[in-house]
Amino acid sequence: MSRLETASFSRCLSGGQLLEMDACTRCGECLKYCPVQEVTGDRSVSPPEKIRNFREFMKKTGVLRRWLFGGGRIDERLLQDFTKAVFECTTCGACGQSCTVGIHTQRLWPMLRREMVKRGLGPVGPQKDAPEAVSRTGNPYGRPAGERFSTWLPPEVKVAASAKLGYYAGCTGAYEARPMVRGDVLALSRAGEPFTMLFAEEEVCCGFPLFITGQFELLEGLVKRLVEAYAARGVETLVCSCPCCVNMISKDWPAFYGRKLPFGIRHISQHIEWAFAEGRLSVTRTLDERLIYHDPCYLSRGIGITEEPRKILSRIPGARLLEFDRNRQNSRCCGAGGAARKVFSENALAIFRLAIDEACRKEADRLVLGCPACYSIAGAALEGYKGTGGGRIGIVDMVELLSEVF
Amino acid sequence: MMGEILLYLLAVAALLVYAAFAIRTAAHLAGWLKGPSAEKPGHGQPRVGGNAGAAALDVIFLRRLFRVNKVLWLGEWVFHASLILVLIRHLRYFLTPVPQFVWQMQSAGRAAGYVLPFSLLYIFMVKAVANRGRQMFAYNYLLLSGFFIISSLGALLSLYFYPNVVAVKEFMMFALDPKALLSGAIPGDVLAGFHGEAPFLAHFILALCLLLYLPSHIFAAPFTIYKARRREESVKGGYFSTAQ
Repeated sequence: MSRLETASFSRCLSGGQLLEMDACTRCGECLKYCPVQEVTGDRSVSPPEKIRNFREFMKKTGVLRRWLFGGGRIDERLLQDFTKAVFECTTCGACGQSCTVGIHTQRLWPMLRREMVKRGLGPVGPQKDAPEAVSRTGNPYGRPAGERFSTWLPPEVKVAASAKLGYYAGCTGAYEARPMVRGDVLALSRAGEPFTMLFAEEEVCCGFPLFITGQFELLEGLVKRLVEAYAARGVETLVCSCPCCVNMISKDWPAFYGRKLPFGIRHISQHIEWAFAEGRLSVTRTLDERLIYHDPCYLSRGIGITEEPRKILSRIPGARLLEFDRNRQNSRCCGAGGAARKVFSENALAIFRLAIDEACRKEADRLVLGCPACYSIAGAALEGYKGTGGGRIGIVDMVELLSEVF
Repeated sequence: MMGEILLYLLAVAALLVYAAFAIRTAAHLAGWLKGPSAEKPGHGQPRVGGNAGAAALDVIFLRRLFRVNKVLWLGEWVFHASLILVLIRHLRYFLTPVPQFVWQMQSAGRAAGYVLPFSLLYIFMVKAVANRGRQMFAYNYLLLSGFFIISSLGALLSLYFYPNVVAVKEFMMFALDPKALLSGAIPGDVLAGFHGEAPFLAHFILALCLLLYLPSHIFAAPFTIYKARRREESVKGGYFSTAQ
């Protein structure tokens, strides 16, 4: 019942990440913030346990140990438990934000997952189907490429054949959070600057679901295909509303593309706030509501965008903006991240309901989201919500909300 | 005769522990210096910013801990500061001639030695009592207990037992000298000073045991804290807010 592996467990980690593995003091402060641990009570999921187990694996397969004792034997059950724990994580990075020694966990967990994938132990459940689905249809959900835009792209929105401004809808937005991407193109259109999009069959997955589940094989091809397509349309700034895509494009595309991207990348909130500031957009209607904005993990902790969404919402006359106790970089995870929502859906719903709980306690009329992954589970989370005020609170995307008041 | 042999074996064991510690540290260092490869683009950051001075202050004042747990921070900061002072004070046993700064730090080091066990007790109380042990791992208990016993013994050595510091120093220097150890016997002048030094020997043996289990974070954490501040500064206000 043991797995003898000759390759070192540290092969997927950079020097900086090995330093981070060593730096964990197991102080346990991150345990207060881990959403999966909060809803499952399972300590094996906790960041210090994952790091401790992986350190043990590294020790047993380390160069010195292999040279002296011919390699270590790792219990198969331990490997399976670790694999489940590392793939159950939502990669929200709340542990890293609260880490007393500053471990960048949002980037560390995908690399641990990569190692498990290389050993044939991960990913888990439907996550395994993503590469095949992306190869076949261009999206991880296996939905027809032809339907990517057809169900939500309003016919009145003019998409230029080429333009300096490009819009990338992303798979989750296009297939699972359509009101959100519909709001995006309506806002872009209203701002008046011509923008371009790729054809439905051309706009493929940004690679994030593959990257986050440690399945890197298709990434280079996807990235090159997308970068060259946008460059051919003369795009100088690419706008996207999905925080995971924006993270992937800004941080990882250059590495897979092999050089600097020929365009800049902006989150939709940055672009809309810029358009407001330039006088290209204005709000015409009032909204007498109490709104509470949920910072998406990959937008706030990932790329540090926290103020633009608030500025946009505060431009709506009559709206009162409330805050979660944990907001901005310290925000709570919605439960849908890390490609875990399709496998560990009960966790995802339970985590999301914690946010609904707090929003209800604060007597918000609507919970405002800024991420298609969060949006995609919002309906299901609200449906089975048993807390008080669940029947009253609404859930809406930030740009979708804007389209109500333009 | 028996005492002489045991003392000699202790000196050999000490040298082996020092060597094991150095090898372990070097092995970790080799890993840390390993660069990134095409296999791991995920840690890539478009730009590195941030104030190096502020990052250094984060390391010195454990700002990240302060941010998440102010009650624990107090104990941890006092513990780390005291430990550094105590370690500097102990350098007099390992260096000849003793550097001036080590002499200058003796009083502060002695005072820190009395504070150290109390800071550990405070940390234990906060973790085990205030947090009801929910965040406590067995390894933390082991380390805390080890440090507490060693530091308490150290304080008692300074207050009540008064070991023969000349003999202690000679023994330490002997244990650091492989050539002398190869002679196969402990020198008579070292041995002569050792009478009733059981508390010191217990303190030293426990310190050697702790050295074997010393967490790697003592070297790694300052770098990760430093890097984290610079990373956080680099995303402040959004990566690409000035792109257009």
